[in-house]
Amino acid sequence: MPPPKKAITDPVLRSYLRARRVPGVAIAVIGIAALSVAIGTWPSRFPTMSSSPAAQVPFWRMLVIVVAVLPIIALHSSLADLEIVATRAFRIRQRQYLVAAALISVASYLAICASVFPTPVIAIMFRGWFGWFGLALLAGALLGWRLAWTVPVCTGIVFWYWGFDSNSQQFHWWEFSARPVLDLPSLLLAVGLVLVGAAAYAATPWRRRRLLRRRQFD
Amino acid sequence: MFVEGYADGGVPLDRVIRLSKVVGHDVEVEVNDLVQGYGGAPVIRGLTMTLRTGVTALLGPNGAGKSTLLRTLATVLPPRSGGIVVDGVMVQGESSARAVRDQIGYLPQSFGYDPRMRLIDFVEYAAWLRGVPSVARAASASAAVELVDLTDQRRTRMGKLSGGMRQRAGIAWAVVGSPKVVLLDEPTVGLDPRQRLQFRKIISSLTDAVVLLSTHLIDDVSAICDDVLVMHGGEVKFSGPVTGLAELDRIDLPGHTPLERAYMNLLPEQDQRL
Amino acid sequence: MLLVLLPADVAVLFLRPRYWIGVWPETGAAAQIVAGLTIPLIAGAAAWAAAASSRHKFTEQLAAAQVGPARVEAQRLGATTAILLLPYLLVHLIAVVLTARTNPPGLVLWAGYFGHGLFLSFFSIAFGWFIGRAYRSMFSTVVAAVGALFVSLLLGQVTSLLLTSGPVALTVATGPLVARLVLAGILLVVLLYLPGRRGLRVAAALGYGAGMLGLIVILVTTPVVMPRSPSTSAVCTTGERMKLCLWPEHDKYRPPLQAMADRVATLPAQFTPPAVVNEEGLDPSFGQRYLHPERIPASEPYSFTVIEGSPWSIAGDLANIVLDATLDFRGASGCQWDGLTPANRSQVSSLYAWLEGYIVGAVNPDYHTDAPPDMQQAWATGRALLSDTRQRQFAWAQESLKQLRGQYCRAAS
Repeated sequence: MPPPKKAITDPVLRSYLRARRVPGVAIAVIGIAALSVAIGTWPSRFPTMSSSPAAQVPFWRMLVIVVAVLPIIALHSSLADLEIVATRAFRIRQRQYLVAAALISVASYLAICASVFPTPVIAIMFRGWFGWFGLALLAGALLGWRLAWTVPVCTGIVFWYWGFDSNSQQFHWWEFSARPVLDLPSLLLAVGLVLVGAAAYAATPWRRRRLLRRRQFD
Repeated sequence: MFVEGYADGGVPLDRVIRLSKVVGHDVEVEVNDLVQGYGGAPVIRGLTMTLRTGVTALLGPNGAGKSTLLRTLATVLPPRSGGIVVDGVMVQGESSARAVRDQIGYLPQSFGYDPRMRLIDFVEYAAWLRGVPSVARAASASAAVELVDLTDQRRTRMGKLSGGMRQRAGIAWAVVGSPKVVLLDEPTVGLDPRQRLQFRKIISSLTDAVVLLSTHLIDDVSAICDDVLVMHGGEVKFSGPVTGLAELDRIDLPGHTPLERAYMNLLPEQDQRL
Repeated sequence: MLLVLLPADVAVLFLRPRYWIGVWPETGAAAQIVAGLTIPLIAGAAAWAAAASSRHKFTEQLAAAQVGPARVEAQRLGATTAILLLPYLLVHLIAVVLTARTNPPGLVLWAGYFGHGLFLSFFSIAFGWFIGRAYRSMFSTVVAAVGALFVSLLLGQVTSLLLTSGPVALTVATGPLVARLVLAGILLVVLLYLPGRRGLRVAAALGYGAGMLGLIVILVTTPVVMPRSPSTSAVCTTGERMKLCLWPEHDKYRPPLQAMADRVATLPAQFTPPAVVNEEGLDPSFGQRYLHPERIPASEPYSFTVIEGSPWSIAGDLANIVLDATLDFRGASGCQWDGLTPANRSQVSSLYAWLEGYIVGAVNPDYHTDAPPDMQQAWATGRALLSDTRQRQFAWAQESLKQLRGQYCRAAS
């Protein structure tokens, strides 16, 4: 493994990162964190089915989605037509980028938000990020990386509108972006979604074909 | 145990797949009973062929399955059925596909690029993709850029290159690192006559590789290709040396050269008249 | 996108309480909610469609076409708009058919909400299309989606942009709505000139910016939801002790309201309900109070509201009104409630909860509350009596009234 300084000066790595607009993603994440600090606690007044004040969606619950989605959208590059012949080296670099970009972006975001949000909220943000990240990977693998935001945003709309149960005055068990911090079902769901997303990412055309043909012959 | 490459007709594997060893430096790409498509009717039906070191032209009308064949040989698309063997490696799953991709240079019909990327960075990126060791990458990229006669443009950003230069940059992408298999989908689009002559020179210099060149230009076929594959409707209508195709010339058919008329002769009767 | 939007929009209409069926303004409000919910999806889809020509690399062919770029763009934008509006139109069609079956009055009130949802859709499409054309990046669709969402939500902090209900006392004002639709239309038209020559593109971009600014000014300065003029054809219950009057659009609530009025008529004589109580908005002063909430009037006329079709919302208001009138909370007859002790406050709360349940004719309310625990305990005490015989209930109520009036009302003492 080359020392970090050499890696950064490696022109191929620079080309890889530049094709993915990594500097732009980094700036966007910081901007979103700043926005969260400024207006994150405001009730967004997004329509909700329940009229209870507890059902109101604060802006921070929406902004976490953006942080989760950006590194995955950046998997697309203008060289996609040529990178499609994805060699081992490319897939390794892509995995490294994905893990590094995801972790760095969420860590930066949460670190900045920790200046105004209490720890339980930070923990809920982190759990929510997991779920959104998984959904974004799934969407990107199915629809293309540029559309990785579609499934998380659609899911978010469902959560924001229907997520609060008026009868129990609590969020439904599947609302992993809002349930209390120690809630196990929503944590398992969020982690499960990451696994689903990772499986979708790993399901290259060759692997999908192998799986289908195995089923045929079973 | 499931083994890929079983032809749909239940043909025994040992007759379908030949794990042929490379003799000397000759490279072979074997395609056995390949069926390929995008859902619905197949685009390629039961294609069997062997490509050897040298330049093979891939001719055929639009929709014949040429690009699909190239994408399949580039291991981008797994076959619906049938098998591919690249330089002795049976491509039967993700890991074998990735392994052989180091030896495949593929240039699609249209490709994107980062306009801010310098040409030399663009080609060096391809070298990295193809697994060229880092110590040899710069030299390899420079050699490829030199091969396509763009040395004086090496530091120019891709967005500033003319269409023809970008196309040559694409060819450099495909040949950097001396891959054993070079797949080019209509590579001479946008090249002026001089550039086409240069292109022929480039292709002719790839003496150690299997080159499959999809083209509509009969002149290029006769100038640089050893063999020719004519496809129509997903099937192979002719496979053999260029001289063999010329023997199919029919003087009553449209065309200015024997190869053109021979090509027309291979088309269905309703397509033979203009 | 249609495969997602169509079922989703229908789900939004039906996977929620269906009190809106049979009331035109509430029908319109319920159906237009989808336009607000799907702002990010519509904007993102518009951005994706806008960038299609560059994504598929046929900008050169379009540039070389004999047909002008504005016309080409109009066809693309028009097709995109039609497709993205289809789910919205379908939802309204379904909602209209369901409500029209009962033939209630007030169809024009539905039209206002329909138009408002159209405006939101046009706004989302214009926003997304502009981003898709102007920002050639892999992030353009997510910027359009998230940007449209946040712009609309931030605007919603200062103006009524996202409407979630259609109270019968209010209406979507025609003037502001037309202004919004016209500006949104201008934004869409300006977009047609973005692909033109450089000078035209710059002018179009500036025009677009000015249009957006104008739209924001209009949104912030002119409220789109306004109070209606009181109806002259209110529908009322019949009753000896208290008459309740509704907006004609709420005629479907007359039967349960009649039942409530009849139960009020059976209350002991110590209860002195007002002779007439109107639904909110039927009295002439409502408009001014709605528009100028900072001007607190000396006393407001009694009124009740129907919230999401819930009888408990009506009964709660009526219980407050009957208690207010009976115990003279306004001090018109000499009662002084300033020194209300905690014990007496609980007693009043228990009376309220009992009266609410008695009027509605049920024990367990259909709402949840975050009132303080002692108040909730007092309410529970009152509701527990509802299972008792009517004689005992009345005896308790009369005794409570007597104690309270004896302590706080000079006339009684």
